[in-house]
Amino acid sequence: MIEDINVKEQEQEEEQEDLATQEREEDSASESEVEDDAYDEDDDDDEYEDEESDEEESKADEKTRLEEEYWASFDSSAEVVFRKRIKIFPDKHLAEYDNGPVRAFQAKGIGKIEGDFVALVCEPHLLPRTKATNVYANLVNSNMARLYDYGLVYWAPLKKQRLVYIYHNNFGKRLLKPNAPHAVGMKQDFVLDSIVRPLFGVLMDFRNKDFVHGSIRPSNIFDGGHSGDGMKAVLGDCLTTPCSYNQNIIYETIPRGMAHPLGRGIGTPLDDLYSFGVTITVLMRSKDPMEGLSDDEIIRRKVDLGSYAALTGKDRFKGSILELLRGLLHDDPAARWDMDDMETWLGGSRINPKQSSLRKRKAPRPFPFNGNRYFYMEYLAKDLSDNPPELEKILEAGDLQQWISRSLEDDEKVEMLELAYSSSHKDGKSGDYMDRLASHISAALDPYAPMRYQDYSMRADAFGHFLVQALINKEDPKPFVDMISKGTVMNWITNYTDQNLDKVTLMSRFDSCRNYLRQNKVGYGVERCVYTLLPYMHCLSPKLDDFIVRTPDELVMAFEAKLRNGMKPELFLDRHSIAFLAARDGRVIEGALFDLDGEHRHKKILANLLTFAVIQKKAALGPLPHLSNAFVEMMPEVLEHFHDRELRQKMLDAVTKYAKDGNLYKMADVSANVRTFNKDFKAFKSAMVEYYKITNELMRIDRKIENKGTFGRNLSGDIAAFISSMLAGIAIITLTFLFLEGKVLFDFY
Amino acid sequence: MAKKKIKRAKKNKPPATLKQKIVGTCFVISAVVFLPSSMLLCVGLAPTFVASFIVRKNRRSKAVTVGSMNLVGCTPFLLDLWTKGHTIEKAMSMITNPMVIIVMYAAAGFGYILYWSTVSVVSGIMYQKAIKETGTLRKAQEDLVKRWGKEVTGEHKLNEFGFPVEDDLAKEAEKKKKRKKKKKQPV
Repeated sequence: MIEDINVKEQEQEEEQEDLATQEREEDSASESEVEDDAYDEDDDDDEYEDEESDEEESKADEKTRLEEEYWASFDSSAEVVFRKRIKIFPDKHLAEYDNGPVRAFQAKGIGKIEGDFVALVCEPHLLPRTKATNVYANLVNSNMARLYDYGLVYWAPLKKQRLVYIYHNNFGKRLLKPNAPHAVGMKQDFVLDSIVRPLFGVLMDFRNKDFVHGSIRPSNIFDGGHSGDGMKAVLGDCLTTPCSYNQNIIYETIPRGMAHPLGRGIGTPLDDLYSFGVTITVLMRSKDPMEGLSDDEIIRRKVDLGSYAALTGKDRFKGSILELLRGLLHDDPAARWDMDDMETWLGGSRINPKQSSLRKRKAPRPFPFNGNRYFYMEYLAKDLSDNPPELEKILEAGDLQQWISRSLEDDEKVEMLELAYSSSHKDGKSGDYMDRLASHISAALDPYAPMRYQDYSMRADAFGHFLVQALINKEDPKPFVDMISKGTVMNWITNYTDQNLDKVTLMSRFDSCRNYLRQNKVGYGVERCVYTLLPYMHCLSPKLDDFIVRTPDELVMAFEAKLRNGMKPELFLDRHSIAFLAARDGRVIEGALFDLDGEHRHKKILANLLTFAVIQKKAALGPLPHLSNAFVEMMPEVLEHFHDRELRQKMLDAVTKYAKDGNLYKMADVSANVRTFNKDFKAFKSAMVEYYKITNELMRIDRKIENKGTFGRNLSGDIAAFISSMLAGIAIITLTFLFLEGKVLFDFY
Repeated sequence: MAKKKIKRAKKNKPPATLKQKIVGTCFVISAVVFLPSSMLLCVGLAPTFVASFIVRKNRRSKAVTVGSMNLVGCTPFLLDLWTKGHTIEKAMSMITNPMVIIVMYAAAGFGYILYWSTVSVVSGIMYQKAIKETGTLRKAQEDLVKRWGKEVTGEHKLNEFGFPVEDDLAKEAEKKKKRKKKKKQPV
């Protein structure tokens, strides 16, 4: 029996050796052979993935249809004017300049402002790159889209506010249509002279300003209106969506490509250079070797072959450009060419190849997990969330540690794994433990990869975008809450090895978020996390659905506008707007937070008034007549909580007087004064005491006058006695004097 | 029962002080020394003694009123006794003279009349004044309720802010009603 088992084990080992040999042979084989053979073993998976891709396509079609319907709901005849300078034509959609879901419309200057413009209308659920916009606006280069202005506009067709980016229309035609195959077949010299050199200048400007474009791809490069040799490459918009949101996966590095488009976060100049390298490759190659592959397959191909081999396919590039592409498409950021290298290369010098710090990653022996065999830690890390219970078993048995130690000879990784394993059950093994375990182990196995949790895949700096999506779509934010509160995000940040990530700021923000999530009061919770993680996120309050509110003063103005348009006076601040204000400028709301969280409506009204009043004064806003009147209408509810009816009337008169001036601050000073409340309450207590005293006095008098016969007898008797005594005294003295004078008083005897 | 009460009262009565004993002794000695005057006053002040005995303790005003007038009535005869021979015979002749008794008792009667009339007038005035005062006080209470609400009376259970709890309950009930109405309304 034991012999049988040994024989079976031997057979298994032989099989594994054969497979390993086969893998090695595949590696050494030609690129074309690799392309054909590398995925033979996953035939079944391919079929499944085909089905998946069909489903994805149908979902994408549905999404497109819904978007079309949404935009079709416009009243396109309505006129949109941006800051009285630019007129936007909602009925003239410039589809050729759309940036993913962000639509482009024709625009023209008004009056002295001449020229054609393109207005890109941002989607409220996709946060534009506001901070980057300020940097971009200061860049002047004819080979990039020239930003004229950006800001809020009342998008009349939808009757909603929208953020628009106005660009000078210096675009021309795209080099590649968005849905076209990623292969153009341009000539090398043309690409070099008309695209590489001009855009290198743009990239230099970006580097000098520490700006990352994140959307470098052929479909976002325009010919500037001149085709052929006279072409003037213009790099398109990158500001209207989160960084790299519209970027096809082939233009992203392997780690960034693993993340969801929304979760790629802000990249680095090296990521831009990688995208630039892919762009050059796509423009020059005549066939897309990865055509029809799913995103997952593209990543696998890149990991297996390296980006250069995966992207160039059968195309053979000659000359110096080969050196450029190899340098730019290096998967190791440390070995990838930077701007200085590129400048040197453009100057005609050769670049010494850089040493890659990445270790050999393919294991000689596969690791079985969830019915699959893995040679790469990156793949394994990616699929761990498919079967966390099995992961726990293999970790407890020590199989994974053994495989890493023996097959990959990476003891440091084993230590990291053990650390991640222990940290994952630090908070117990209940709730989301399995997801947490998979996430922690994944981060330990592949520290370059994005954070993975359940089906989500993102970098920590893009975490907020997912939270926003969940809140907008009214999905359960629990996974995100768990990720923050159970330390999954912190674990990822700690493990993540990319030095370009601002770990200190991120850790500080997530630490704050963890504290906010501990409290369920208004001004805290998941809403506060959104505005803490995304400092430029507009307020997501359902009451401000029609507005893009980015600052406290915009919030006040938005409510003023809503009231002007017929909104009924009500409590304005909700959980979202309170969290928004607390995150943007805590001082304007900190005095009102306690009351806003309370149950008493009159206190909430006053807290609303107080908050708006502070914002009005701080932002030096002008009169706010509609808000003032709204508060006057709600004031009786507040005033009925003052005891003194005379005071109520006086206060109402004063508030009404200040409301006419639209001065919220003075209104708040009159009505939301704590001292007035206390004084009134104190006076009320005194009045109660006085009433009690009067009642007692009345009872005393009533008791006395109850018997009219005895009332006042004592006093009146005393008075009678006094009168009598006085009269008697006088009479006795008089009689004595008369007697002494010899007068006979009575002569009876 | 009544006897028991008297016994208890006697038992509860504090013993006479030394001062009281000395005054009492002096009074008895002087009464013996001035026996004719004492005899005249004993008979002449009889209405006063009656008045002081029939009124309750601590309400001596009636006795004082009657006594003062009674004393005025006795004064001419007392002076006469002192100046025209302070003898028992003289005193006896005065006592036995009906006119003397009438004069002394008429004076006491005047005291009674004075007491009754004063009490009636003064207590009547006081009663009217008290009625007026209750009116003023009730008005003051009404003003307080008008200015501070019914809660100022202290007859209602108040919440933390000093407002009647029943108002809160009524408001809550109203809110519940509204909610129910909203639910019933078809979407």
